[in-house]
Amino acid sequence: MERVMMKGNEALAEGAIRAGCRFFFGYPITPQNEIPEYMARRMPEVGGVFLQAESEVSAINMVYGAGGAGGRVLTSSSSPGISLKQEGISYLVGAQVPCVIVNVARGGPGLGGLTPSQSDYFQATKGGGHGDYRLLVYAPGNAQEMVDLIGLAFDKAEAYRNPVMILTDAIMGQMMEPVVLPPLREVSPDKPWATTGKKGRSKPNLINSLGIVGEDLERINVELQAKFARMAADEVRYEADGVEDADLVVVAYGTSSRVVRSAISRLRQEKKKVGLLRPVTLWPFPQQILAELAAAGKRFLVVEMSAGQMVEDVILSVNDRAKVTFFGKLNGTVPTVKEVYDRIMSLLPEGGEE
Amino acid sequence: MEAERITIFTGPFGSGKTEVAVNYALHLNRQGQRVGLVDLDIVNPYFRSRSLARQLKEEGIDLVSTQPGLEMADLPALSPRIFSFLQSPDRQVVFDVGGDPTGARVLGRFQPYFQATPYRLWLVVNPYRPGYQEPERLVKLAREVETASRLQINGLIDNSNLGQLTDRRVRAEGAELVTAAAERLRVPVVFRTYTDQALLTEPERAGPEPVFPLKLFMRPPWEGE
Repeated sequence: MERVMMKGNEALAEGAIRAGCRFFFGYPITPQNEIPEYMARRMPEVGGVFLQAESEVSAINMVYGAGGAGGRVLTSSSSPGISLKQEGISYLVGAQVPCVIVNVARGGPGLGGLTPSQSDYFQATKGGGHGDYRLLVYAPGNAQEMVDLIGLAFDKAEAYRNPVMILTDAIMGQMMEPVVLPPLREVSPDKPWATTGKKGRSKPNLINSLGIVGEDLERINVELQAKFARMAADEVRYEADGVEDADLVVVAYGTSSRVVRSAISRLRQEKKKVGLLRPVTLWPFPQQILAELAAAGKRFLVVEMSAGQMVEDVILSVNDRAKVTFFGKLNGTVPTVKEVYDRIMSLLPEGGEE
Repeated sequence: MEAERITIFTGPFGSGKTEVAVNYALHLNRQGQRVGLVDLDIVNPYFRSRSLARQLKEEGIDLVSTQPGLEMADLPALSPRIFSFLQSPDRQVVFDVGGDPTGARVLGRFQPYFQATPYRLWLVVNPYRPGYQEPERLVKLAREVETASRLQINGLIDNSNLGQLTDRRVRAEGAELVTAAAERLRVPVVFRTYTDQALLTEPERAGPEPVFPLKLFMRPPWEGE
């Protein structure tokens, strides 16, 4: 059968396998457990490795090993577990090891709860670990994008030799939708930089983030920043729906964007001009399009399941050229279609009808 | 569909057994039966019938699941009210049992009741779920569920669907696979579900092939108010 019904978490796992991922290291935590469960069953079928580590810290360092040897490697967790991985993520960036990290976010801070949340945006996009670094961060909007974006994530991780994060949430991970799966790819771990033996070369490959001499460390950081600049220039992805003639542009990603879309389709039936700008990459952030829309006189509403995190990037992007309003639901609840509808209505100019 | 007093719906993870169980409980309720719905899904705290408690109560169905307030605790606990349901001879009891052989194991706890009271154990199947496209896989799963629960499956429920992309062809191709699995297991296909009357085949419309309408309760927030 061409199409199958998959939970978002399963779609991520199978999408990774199809993209050539043959190593998974993780530690259980709700609401991402379907990923390791799926991998435990599936990896042996494709000759891959599934390993449940003794902790998240251990798992992320296993990622370092497999990635350094050129393998396509995945780890997944949920918010508190992702916090534990931060030191390892910083090391992976420093040593330029490609890998993919999935965060199926839940409510925080602390142990929090199992409810969906978008309050890990800062951690994902601004660097939760130490040092000057960036992750390429994808935010899927449906199960099909889970498959497509995790495939892309592996390609980009390798192209830039940098960790890539998929940031999603409990609802996106648990909902079931039809998906079309791409063919299974086999990707060779044989990379010119991988630590797979000298193979006749005079110098061994080295996977390391140490820059003990000041000038060496500066050189490493200059190299990294040049790479992040290339990513910022080339990797921005977003979906713009009806923004051109909109009076108000709503900015939202993931679960929030789904609720916003439902509210907007109701408003359009009432002839209201409302657009949706959905960042698909949270870093690099779609600054350019937001700046252009601001210059064209649009107003903005940002909807998030947080106290307001992505809204800061929207404000930076529009740079005082437009009014930005925020509507957030704190961890534990999801905005309803009616709440978003009402909020948009309150912001539309009088006589906003055609 | 004459009801035995106990009907157990089980099925692989994500097969739609909770939707089927809830709709079946409502169906019995509309026939004037006293119905108790038991949420025994110990596998997954999302999208399961506990979140429906209030709605079902309004319809007059008693739902038993985890203690109120612990719905999202991810720590299943069985309520003593399940025994009170099983001990009431005038009550229909519908079980929603989680997932897979692991989920079905909990049924062993009620073994003495199932031996004393006629029951039906129906396996809900959606062959569009990954890994279940082959009838052999369904047969294997059925045997595992029987071993774990110490009960016998006596019917398959064909819940072939691709969500909003479900069409006549999707149902027809799914039906072929489910029928093949049912033949291998030597059990009947009890009914085929549908959410839209327009997708029914002629034999289904005319009556010889049993169908069952589903009203979906577990919807994502963007499909709500």
